[in-house]
Amino acid sequence: MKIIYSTILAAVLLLGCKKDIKLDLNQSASQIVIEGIVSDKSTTQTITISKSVNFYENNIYPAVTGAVVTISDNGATPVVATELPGGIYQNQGMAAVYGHTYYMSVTIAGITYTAKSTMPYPVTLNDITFYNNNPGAKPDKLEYSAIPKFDDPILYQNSYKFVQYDNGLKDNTVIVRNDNVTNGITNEEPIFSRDFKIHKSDVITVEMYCIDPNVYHYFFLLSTQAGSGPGGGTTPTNPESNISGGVLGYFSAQTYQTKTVTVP
Amino acid sequence: MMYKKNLFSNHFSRLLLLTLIFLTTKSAIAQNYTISGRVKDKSSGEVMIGASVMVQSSKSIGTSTNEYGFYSITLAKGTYAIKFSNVNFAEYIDTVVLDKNKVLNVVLNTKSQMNDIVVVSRKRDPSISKAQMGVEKLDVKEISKLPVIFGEKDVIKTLQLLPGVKSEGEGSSGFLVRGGAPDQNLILLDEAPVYNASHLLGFFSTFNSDAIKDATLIKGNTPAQYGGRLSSVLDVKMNDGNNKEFHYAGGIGLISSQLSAEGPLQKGKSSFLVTGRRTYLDMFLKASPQYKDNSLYFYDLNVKANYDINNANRIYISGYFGRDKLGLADAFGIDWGNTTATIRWNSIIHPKLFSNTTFIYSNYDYKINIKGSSITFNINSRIRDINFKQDFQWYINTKNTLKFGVNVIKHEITPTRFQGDISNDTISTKSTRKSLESAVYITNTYNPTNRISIDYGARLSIYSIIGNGSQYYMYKGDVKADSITVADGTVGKTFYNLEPRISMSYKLDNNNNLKVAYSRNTQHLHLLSNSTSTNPTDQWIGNSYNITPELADQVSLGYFRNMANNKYELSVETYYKDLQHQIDYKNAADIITSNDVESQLLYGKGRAYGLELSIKKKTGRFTGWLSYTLSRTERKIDGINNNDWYVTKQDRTHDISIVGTYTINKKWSVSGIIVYYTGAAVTYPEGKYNVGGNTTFLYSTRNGYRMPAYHRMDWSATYEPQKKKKYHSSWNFSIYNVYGRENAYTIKFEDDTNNPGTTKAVQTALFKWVPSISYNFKF
Repeated sequence: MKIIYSTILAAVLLLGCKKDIKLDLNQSASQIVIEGIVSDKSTTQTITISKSVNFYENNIYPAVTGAVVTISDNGATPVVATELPGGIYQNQGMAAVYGHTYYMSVTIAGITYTAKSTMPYPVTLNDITFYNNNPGAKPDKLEYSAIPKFDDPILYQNSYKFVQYDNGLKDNTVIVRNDNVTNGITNEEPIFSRDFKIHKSDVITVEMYCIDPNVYHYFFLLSTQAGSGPGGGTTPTNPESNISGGVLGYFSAQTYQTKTVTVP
Repeated sequence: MMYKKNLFSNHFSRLLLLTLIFLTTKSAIAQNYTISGRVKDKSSGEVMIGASVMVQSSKSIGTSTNEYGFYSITLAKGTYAIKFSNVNFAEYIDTVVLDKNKVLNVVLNTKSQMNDIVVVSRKRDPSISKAQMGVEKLDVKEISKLPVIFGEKDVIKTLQLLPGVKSEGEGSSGFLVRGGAPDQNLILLDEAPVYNASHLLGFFSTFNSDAIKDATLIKGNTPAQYGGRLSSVLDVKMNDGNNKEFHYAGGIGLISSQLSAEGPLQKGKSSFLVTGRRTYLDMFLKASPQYKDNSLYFYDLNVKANYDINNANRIYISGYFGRDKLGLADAFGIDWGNTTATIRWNSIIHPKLFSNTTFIYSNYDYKINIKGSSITFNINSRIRDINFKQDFQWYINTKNTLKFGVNVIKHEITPTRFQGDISNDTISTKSTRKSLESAVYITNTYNPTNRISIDYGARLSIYSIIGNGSQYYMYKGDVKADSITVADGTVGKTFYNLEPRISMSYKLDNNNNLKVAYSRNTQHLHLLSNSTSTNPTDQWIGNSYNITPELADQVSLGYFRNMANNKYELSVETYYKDLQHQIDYKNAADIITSNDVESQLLYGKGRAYGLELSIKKKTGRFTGWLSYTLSRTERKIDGINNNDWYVTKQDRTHDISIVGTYTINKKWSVSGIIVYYTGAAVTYPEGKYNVGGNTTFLYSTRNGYRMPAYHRMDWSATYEPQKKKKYHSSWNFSIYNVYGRENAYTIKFEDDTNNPGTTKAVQTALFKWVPSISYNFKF
């Protein structure tokens, strides 16, 4: 709702003008970032560990090496992941099981960080359709939003995360959804993404991840970070990780599906 | 219905007792007579608010008319010359032989503007020696010369130029008083509370200036007859309508037009007023093929009628209806609006006792409609009040004026809920919550000597949850700890709060005054907003088993000085406010789709303090004021910012406004405004990291940074051609933001596409040079 609302606001304020500004920002202490994923598409689990940098530095995130990373399937004996270059830790040969809870433990410089996440049962992505954002416009000016079509199961607390690509170009907007008000019905809600314009004949790829509610909560908070100042948006905060011990990032057991469709 | 009776009789017996105590102690005075009556405008028959009534022989004895134009003075038997006066009106002196109680109704003539052009931009405080503090009065007629965005004169935007009052943001009609949140202002339109005073995403206020007679803002130390909000009271009175002859007026602007008609129903006895306004921004949208299916407009309708039953009794009926509509084709639409209706009965029970009985209906709701190809649903919320007030003003003697009364409000609040093709019954069936907010108050204005004036009193406010048969949940942190079912029609939890109020004025000499005040205010209704600005979809919520009443204790101290024969007025005020039981959303609160919004709330405390300076030039060809505020507002909420104090988004260290109007000749006048304030407190990222291949920002402590300072200058010129018979017109030309300052409205952080691998901050500004023209006429 907020997105639609602020889209109207943006449309109204045709006089608005943008410019880049340089802010005087404090240095931030470098923090550990852990991104752990257990997916149903692969028997390999990947955990990436890096560090945060200051705002005005280049987007080069130092890898954290020498960590001890273990993964456990539903309480079985933890297995140790192999360290690869670039702060990547992998475990191979473990097939993900729906409904199982996975446990991750990461030890860096004697401090252990732990997390758990439950692999949701998959929901089928049936189709991608398109919503016409401005039906009155000329055919070459029409803009669309993708609608991922799936039948939400009655089973309560389904959470989803989407990533979309237009002609191979990724939309960096964080898109998550849950079924709090739409439990058990076919999804009709388009993915409204403010700076992502879909036109006729574009090739659209949508990735759909079923995620657990804690991971949803993490990404929901990330999605509210956009916008700052009296003109709208919520006051941004850093999302609380589902990994204990005071690190950034998350640990998610998730399903994966993808569909590619050309805008008719 | 027993609970109502009990509560009511309980209040009433207390009130009766208090009244009796005063009656018995004060009734021994003999040989005194009362002169009372109403003061009206001769040309329109409108009653005058705050007209001065002074006994000539003794400068210290006098009063001013109340909000219904009534005055009452009790004097010893004798002969007196009494002077009636008001700003922009010729004074009138009458000699009265007081040998019995007398009624003297007076009409005042508009001051003829011959050679001497006198313009008063801010209404003169009737007397700086009044005890009340932090009171700002606006003369609606004169603010029309000041430049405003889109040429739409607006009471609230002019208020924002006063010390201690801040704008919520660029072009916004939201206002913040002494560090308070927008919902901590009690906004009254003919005594009816207005729950959302803004139109069109906040760029316009709901007050159509053509319908307004008087606006008073009280910053915190409110007298006991007002209650229910922590920060301020904005008391707006609508025009009554001319009871002598018919008049029509209108205005045509770039964005909206308004029309009004007024006239007698029975000459001299009754009158009506109808004022309408509508924007036509959507007409421009229609012209663009891309947006032609979209709608975007608002309208307002003010109606009022009054009737003099006899000399002692008068009835007023007034109403307001306003609605905003926004829509994207037929897929998405939002509309919101207020409705208020007030019926008042003024009665002069005795020359010394004035009574006003009020019945009020007030409603605010919004609805968002969403239509997909196979599902349709809406999101809606509503707050509805039925309100009864009985107020008495008892002019005991020249030293004491007692006000007392009782107020009972029945609130019905429907929390945000989804209805239509959705599956979650918990959300779609969220039930309307009922509550009863009541108060009894008593306050006395006591002038023991002509140097000292004291207002003292108290308000007892009571808030009861009235059951509707559904459950209230109690939370410990995130976790639902307990629940209680309050049976339909029974009283659940009740909160009692006693609010003492006192203010004192000490006159050092004729031109210098010191004032000091303390008051406690309680707030039972809270506006939940997780946004950095006010949205129509913000929802109201009452006290509950988790939410306790918000409390504010404010102490203020002031110094006031008249200079150069009353041409200039200087005021210096300081305040300290302590706030308890403040409410905020927790991080990542899900406010629309959560089953119970109370699970998403956090509680804490706040403090606000500041210094306000103002210099006014009140008369002459050049009038205007300079105001400066130095202030700080902080909060400490458990669960936010590591439970440390942080400055709120309302905090602005420095705030300066300069306002001036120069009357060139009878036809032309020019005005200018300069505004400067410290940027709003915001949260910026200090670092960044990588999540899923996306740059993710690492934010500082809450509100640890400032937006760039805000400043702008506006100009306007008003041309009033010579009046032709009855036809009077004026043109207003204005430029908002003359030097095109790009004031930051939002600052966003994103990947720099020009320098891949880096990030940048992007500022969006809204308005650069907004010129506007408006034409106003009256006949």
